[in-house]
Amino acid sequence: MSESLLLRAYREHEWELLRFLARRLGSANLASDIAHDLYTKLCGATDHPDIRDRKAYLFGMAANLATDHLRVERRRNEILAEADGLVWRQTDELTPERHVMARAELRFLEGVVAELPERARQVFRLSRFEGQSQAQIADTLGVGITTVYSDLKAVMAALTQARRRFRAGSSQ
Amino acid sequence: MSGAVRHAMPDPTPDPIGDAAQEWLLLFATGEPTADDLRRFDAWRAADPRHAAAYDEARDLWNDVGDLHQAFAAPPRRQAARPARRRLLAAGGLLAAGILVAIVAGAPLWRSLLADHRTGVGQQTMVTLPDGSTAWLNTDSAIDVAFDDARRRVTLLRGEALFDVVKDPARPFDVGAVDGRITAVGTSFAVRDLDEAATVTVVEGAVRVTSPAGMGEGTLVAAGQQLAYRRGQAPDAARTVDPGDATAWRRGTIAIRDRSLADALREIERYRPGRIVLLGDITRFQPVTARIALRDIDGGIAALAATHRLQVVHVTDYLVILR
Repeated sequence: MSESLLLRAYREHEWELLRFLARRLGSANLASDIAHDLYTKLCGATDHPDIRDRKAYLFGMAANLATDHLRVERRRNEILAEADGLVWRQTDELTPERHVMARAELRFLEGVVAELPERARQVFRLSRFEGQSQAQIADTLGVGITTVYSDLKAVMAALTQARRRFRAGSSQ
Repeated sequence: MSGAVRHAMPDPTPDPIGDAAQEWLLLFATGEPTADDLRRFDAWRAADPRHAAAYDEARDLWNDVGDLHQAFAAPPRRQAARPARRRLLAAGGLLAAGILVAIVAGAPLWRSLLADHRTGVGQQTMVTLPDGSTAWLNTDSAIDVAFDDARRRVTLLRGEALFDVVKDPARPFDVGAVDGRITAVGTSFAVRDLDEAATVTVVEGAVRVTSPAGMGEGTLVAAGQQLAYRRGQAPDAARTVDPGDATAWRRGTIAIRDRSLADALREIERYRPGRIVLLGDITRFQPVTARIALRDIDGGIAALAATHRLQVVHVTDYLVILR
């Protein structure tokens, strides 16, 4: 089967398309990703007899793909921002007494942390203090992602229990 | 194995709600949440007041644990003699130091173009050094690397870099920044060079900072501490910081804690080309605490502006005015 006319038009205008996409997306790398998507789509498409201006048609497709990409990206950022808000205390919640853990409780929990198995402590440290994702930690330590997750859970549970015990004890 | 943790912390009481709350928190803090997760979480939290209370407990813990960073960074209690296998050391994270070093201004552009490793504005990169140590370069940064049999020397020419240093007692690891020098004595540290001044943040282990104007012995900086010095001056006293904030850029976030709006904007400016100009009476603005995603800096600027009732004017791509 011979190359479709749209594909031929794509090759002819590739540089213009890339420039157009780069301007829309603000990134040359992203532009070539989207251009590749466009190319793949064209490979599967057959020429439609109604398409008069192939160049305008191509640019229209490129613009749609770019808009879709930006929409997905924006949605993804919104999700991450929302999750972030669920995790981190906001400015208006920062009161001095919440900001710094009571000294006695801090000592107590330090003792608990010192008793944790080394790998679990390491995993939690990379996550909480270095902000590595579960996948990154698995990579850093050369262990499976399930191991990372179960370590994180185990440390969270251990600290929660310890803190409850401490608070129950100190209020008696 | 998590069994080992349970063994260390015997507590057999089953706590399904607490478990679920911790799982939600870990998903949001360290995982890849989807829109569907957020919806399911809202439903779960609203379903029972005990769910909401358990989640608050987990969230409080996650935040408060910031005070425990030294306990998490401390070396294991019973340390058996280990074979000095470099690969093993790197993989096990048994590092000599983790330091973040930053310099303001630093080398002129032509000099950093000739550097061994560099990043442009808005870029970040990870460099594996010849000994297996790692250097992460933040936006607009450059380093030179000079290793030989006797020593491991890195020079921060510009910007900010975080080093995870592999232990090697025979060859000290040091970072030159401005006119001073940071020597890893103990794990992860970062250095930052801004305006002829350097800031050293120690994530793990300890470092010794020496500068021509400082004391002969230098200043020891421990994990969770930050120390700054300017060219020709002795270092300031070390202060305590949350190393998670200082290294937030490595996970794609700019973390700003209790800084003036002008300072916050200067910090953001480092990550995007062009200038951000703040007009108006800067003394009237409240201090800023914020986390901004590097992949949506302009969204972050807009949000900051909105909380301060300021308007954002994009004069060009390279000039943004807040007023």
